Amino acid sequence: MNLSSLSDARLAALMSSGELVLRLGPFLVRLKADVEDLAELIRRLYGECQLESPNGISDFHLQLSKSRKPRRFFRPQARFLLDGHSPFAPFPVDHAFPLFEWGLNWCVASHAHQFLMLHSAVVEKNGTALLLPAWPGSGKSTLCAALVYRGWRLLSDEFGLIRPGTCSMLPFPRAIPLKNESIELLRNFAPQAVIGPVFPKTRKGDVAHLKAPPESLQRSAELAEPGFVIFPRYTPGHRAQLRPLAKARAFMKLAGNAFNYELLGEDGFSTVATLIRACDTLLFRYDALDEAVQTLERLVE
Amino acid sequence: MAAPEALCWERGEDESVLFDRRSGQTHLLTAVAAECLHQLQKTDLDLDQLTEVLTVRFQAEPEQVTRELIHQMLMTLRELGLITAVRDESQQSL
Repeated sequence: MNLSSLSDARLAALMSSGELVLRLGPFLVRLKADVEDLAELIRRLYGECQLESPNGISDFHLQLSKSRKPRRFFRPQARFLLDGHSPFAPFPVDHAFPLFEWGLNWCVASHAHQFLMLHSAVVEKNGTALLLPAWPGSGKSTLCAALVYRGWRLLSDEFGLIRPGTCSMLPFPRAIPLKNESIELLRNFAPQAVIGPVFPKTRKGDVAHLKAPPESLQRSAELAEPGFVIFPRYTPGHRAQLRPLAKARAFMKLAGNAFNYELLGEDGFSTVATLIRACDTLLFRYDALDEAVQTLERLVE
Repeated sequence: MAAPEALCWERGEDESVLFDRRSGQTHLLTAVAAECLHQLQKTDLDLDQLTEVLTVRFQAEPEQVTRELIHQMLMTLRELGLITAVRDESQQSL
């Protein structure tokens, strides 16, 4: 059963009782919430996600609850809790969805050390996965969003997950957070894409979430074999251009922006080494999205 | 000198990546630095001998692989904990 098959009343009941368990890639996420409008948005952006039994074990027990402090009367807030503890400051209650998204990212980055977690978008086409590791501000999310609305499967916009000792990428498809100018850019680039409401003035500026293509959500148990590690850099005015990057340099860049490379020690080293050996390693500069997509498309034709 | 089993290598054409099991650190090494560590793992060499070996190995002109350059590189490798001492016969041991 998937999320979209629930009635509004049933979804609200499961969410308020803490019995809503979503399968998001390799994780089971239990969510309890008493925030209005959150259920509707989660259904809209994660409708194809599989529901799991509330009687089983979940990886993360999340709660989004309205703050009970006196300020709730003039500026209501929502708190994010993991296992009953609040790891960060509350958000305005009307920003509950970005709080859920960032909170879940934090949970995974802080706890899922059974995987090597690369800070990377991962997309797949024709059986070949392409890793796009990048620092914030490189245009990774925008490029990833453009690719998945030109037929690439989304594995993740944020986490390149690999089980140590293997070389296959695990999907963790989620809504893609678009920021500022990228929101309008993607509306024009992919008019068919579902984009949630704009959350203004977050710590990352204006943010709106682009729904992962339904097929990507439905195939979230299907691993992908990596063929390319490409470091993207949005460069205004620059023609789309791929350049080879020496493998040792690519290794250091990839390991350097992983969430837990050092923590995994030798397992991290050997997993990155296996990945780099299996892939072509490239630098990518681009400006226009259409040209960027066409350039990457040629790699897997 | 780090024992061979303490180090994991991932070799590239011009540069190599080295993981030090003792420190958990990962290093990017030039081909000369990587070869230098290999030579020192094989046998005990002083600075002059090492300079000569590397000059031959890389078919370099004497001014390209100088004694000073190798000395500087050894100092860096020592700072990284990859070697423990540098013996320079013309000066005091470091």
